[in-house]
Amino acid sequence: MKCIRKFTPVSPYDIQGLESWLEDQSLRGLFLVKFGTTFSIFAQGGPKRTRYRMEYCKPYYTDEPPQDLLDLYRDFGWEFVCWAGNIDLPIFRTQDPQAEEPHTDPSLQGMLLEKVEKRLKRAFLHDAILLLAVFGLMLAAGLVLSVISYPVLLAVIAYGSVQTFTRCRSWLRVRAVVRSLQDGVPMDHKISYPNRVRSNLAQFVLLLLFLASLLLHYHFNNTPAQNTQEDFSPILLSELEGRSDSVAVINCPHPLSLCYSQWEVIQIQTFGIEGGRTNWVRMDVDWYRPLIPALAEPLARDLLRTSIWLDGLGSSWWTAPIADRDGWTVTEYKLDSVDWCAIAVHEESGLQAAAVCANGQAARTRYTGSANLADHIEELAAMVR
Amino acid sequence: MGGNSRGPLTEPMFYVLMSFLRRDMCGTEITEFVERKTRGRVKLGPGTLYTLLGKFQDEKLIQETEVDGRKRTYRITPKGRAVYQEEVDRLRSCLMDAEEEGIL
Repeated sequence: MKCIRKFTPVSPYDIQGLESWLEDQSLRGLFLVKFGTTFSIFAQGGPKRTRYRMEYCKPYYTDEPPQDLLDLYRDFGWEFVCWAGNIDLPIFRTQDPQAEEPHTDPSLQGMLLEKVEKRLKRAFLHDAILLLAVFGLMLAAGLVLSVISYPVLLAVIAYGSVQTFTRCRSWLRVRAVVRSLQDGVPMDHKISYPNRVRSNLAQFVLLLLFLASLLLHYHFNNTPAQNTQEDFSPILLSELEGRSDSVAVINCPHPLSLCYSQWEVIQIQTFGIEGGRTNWVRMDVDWYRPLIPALAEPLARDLLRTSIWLDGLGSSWWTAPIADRDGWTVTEYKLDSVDWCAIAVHEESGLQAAAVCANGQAARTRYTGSANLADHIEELAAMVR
Repeated sequence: MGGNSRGPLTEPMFYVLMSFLRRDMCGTEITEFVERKTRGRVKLGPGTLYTLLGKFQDEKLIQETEVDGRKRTYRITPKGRAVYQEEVDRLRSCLMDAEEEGIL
């Protein structure tokens, strides 16, 4: 028996469309072997009108539905073909024109399909809430910063949006069928159906891209520290502190970000021991050149805004006691050849953060020392000029 | 499903319960009985029949008595008879009301 694959042009929840499509294929001599949401497998044979019906039964985690269901349908001339992608939607067929339709009571059939409708509704709401939660977290963490640092989030949002829309459409479609059945209107099994091959194929490709982006993100997420970079000249901790013994670590933290280049420069100076604890000063510079230059300013604003969040963990360096988390003063500065510049100062702890952008580049500086970043504003601007 | 507290039975439900009154029945025998009794007016497909048999079993209106290969036989329970009688009484009341109106 020769089998061929065909793109599936209908959704499994477009019950009438699915049944019509399968019947049309039988008139071309193609008989369903296995249904798939993107590809379906057909056996070739002589054309013969075959009725297909998608039913509902309680979820059954085996290759076939319950034996009593199979026996009853067989007694009426219907044979089981395969599942329609889900373990509660078996597909039956008959080539006997005299075989009784499986459902002769529309309201009862509506009651059955209502279980499918409720399942689809739950899945849609679950997806929608999850999508909103991810989007909400991205907004809170800075939308531009999140997307540039973790472009896999774009794939998550894109795939999640398509899935949510598809589930919503499936739910509404089944709901319309259920309401019609509950009104006593028998289901019309032969309708014209839209060809959704491109849509189904696009979803399949999107799924592959989503999985590929996850793999790439996981693979490239950890890169070793480097000693040099030549994209910009970072402001130096030694110039602020007046000492030349600081230690610098250069990192490319997100090699798969949406940037031509991205660097993190960590500089630390230690000075003396007091009360058994080593005193130290740290300055971090995060520098970006995004692929889209226009994103530099919103990125700089996100960087400064997220700098104002202080960690409450004792082991983190950018932290203050919980009671002192508020109390930031933000001052913007107008500078030549700079699109935007601002410095935030936390009065209680003395922490300072600065963000600056120009020429499609953005940089953020976070500093724990006692020097005034505002006095070194030209050095800050030089990182992006 | 049926009874004063559950609402009226649909025609397929009513005739399926009726089919069990005299003896135990299997799926195809139920279908033949209903089609013969209603002169083809009420037809039962396998999906409708399967759903009804499942719901009647869940509600203890019928019980499975024998499984012989593919043939499964069912019997009505006392609760099923009571539900059937309630429906007959309801239909009888409807008919009496219609006769009172004198438009038959």
